[in-house]
Amino acid sequence: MKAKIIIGMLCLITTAANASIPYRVEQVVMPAPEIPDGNDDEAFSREHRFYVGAMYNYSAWQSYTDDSDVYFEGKDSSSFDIVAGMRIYDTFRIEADYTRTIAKVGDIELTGNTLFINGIFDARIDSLYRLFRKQYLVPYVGAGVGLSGNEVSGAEIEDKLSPAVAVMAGLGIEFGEYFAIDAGYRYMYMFSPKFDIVDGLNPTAHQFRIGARVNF
Amino acid sequence: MGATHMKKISYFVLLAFVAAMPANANYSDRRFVAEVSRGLDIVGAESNAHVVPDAAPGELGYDVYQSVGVVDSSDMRMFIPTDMYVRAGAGLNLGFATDKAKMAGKKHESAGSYTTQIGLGWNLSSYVRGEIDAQMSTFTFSDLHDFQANYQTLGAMLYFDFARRYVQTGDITRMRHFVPFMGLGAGAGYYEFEGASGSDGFVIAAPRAALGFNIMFTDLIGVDIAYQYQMMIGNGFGWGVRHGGVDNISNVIASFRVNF
Repeated sequence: MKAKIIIGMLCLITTAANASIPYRVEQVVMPAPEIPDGNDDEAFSREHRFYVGAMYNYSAWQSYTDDSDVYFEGKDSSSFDIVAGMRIYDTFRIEADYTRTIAKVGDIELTGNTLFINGIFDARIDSLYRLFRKQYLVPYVGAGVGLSGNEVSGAEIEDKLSPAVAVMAGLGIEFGEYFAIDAGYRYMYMFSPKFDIVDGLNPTAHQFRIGARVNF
Repeated sequence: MGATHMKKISYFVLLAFVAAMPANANYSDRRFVAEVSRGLDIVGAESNAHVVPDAAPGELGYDVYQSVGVVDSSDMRMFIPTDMYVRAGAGLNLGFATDKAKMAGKKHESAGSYTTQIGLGWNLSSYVRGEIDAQMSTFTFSDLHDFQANYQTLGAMLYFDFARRYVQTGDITRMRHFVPFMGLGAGAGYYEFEGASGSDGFVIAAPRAALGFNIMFTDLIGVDIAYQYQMMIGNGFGWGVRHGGVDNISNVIASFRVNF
């Protein structure tokens, strides 16, 4: 009988092996995700790297008084923009912007083919916010430099080609991932094309723009 | 006799069960190697696809996945700090707090002057923000209908919030909606008083200081209303004035701020 108990006890001893864990894992760091998880800096731009758009442009040109105290009254004008852009990150894009410039100051009417290169920061929420929110309104700010090939009626100009700069802000209203309405403001400053009848006039405008963008 | 045999058989059965138990101890090594070499998801899917719907399998799974309590309350949301913001707005000049422009010995107060502002900022900490901005100002003056002045400046500011935007109490982070702030910085650019012998040229706004408050409507969208003072170092403020000196300009600017 004692032998039976001993055999039984010996058998039980082996079950103690279950108590010992043959290895021990300790997680020290989370491995960096090799496959983008959809919350990274390029989650949207990777899918829609390029876009094109067109905008209507209402410009309020600023008045100017020259060194002879002759007053040139700024007038309003309408024109359009065509843009083609590329998203570097979800929050930053660069675009080529063709603007048909129509500047009216006094009796001078300047028409120009203006090409801007704009750098634009989109306030597109990234990180974990994407898990909790869907963003329809994407405000932006940006700045651009460009060149304008000009023709003028009502005066002569010395430089057919003038540099121009711009700063802009606006609101993108996104309908799905392919289409957006864009309403914005742009301050445009063109370096003087050197008019013969007025010295030092830099055509400057507050521009109000509305248009649409299509993402690819 | 029968009872003794039954007893022996029952010992034997017990022995068979107990002897099989150590086999469980062999599981982990191979299993763990498979989890690492083939991938936890594949090993887990094979063993659990039709068995257990959601528990992560294996020792590695136990380490990686953890269930935590989910807070379900409309008053509470996850706290997610933002790195940057955009800001755009417009301001009116305070004529009584701005130096008067001089022309032919007479002084003319700024009236109906305005500024537009576009900025890009960084939320450096819960107290401090950095910002670069562009400001375009047009000055018109009383009794001078055909003469105006324009400033275009680029600036950099450091803003200090008077109250911590996010207040942490244990695991709960509260967001303040109303936060007053002050800012200090400088700007530089070009200006021109249009007309004969108008001051013009390079101008420095230093210091440029701001005092105002911010109201956030949500985590991301809010408005800033601020008084801004600029000490302009340029070539004078008016027409036919001596070059040099400083001129004081005061604006009140309202703008939208959107974090991202």
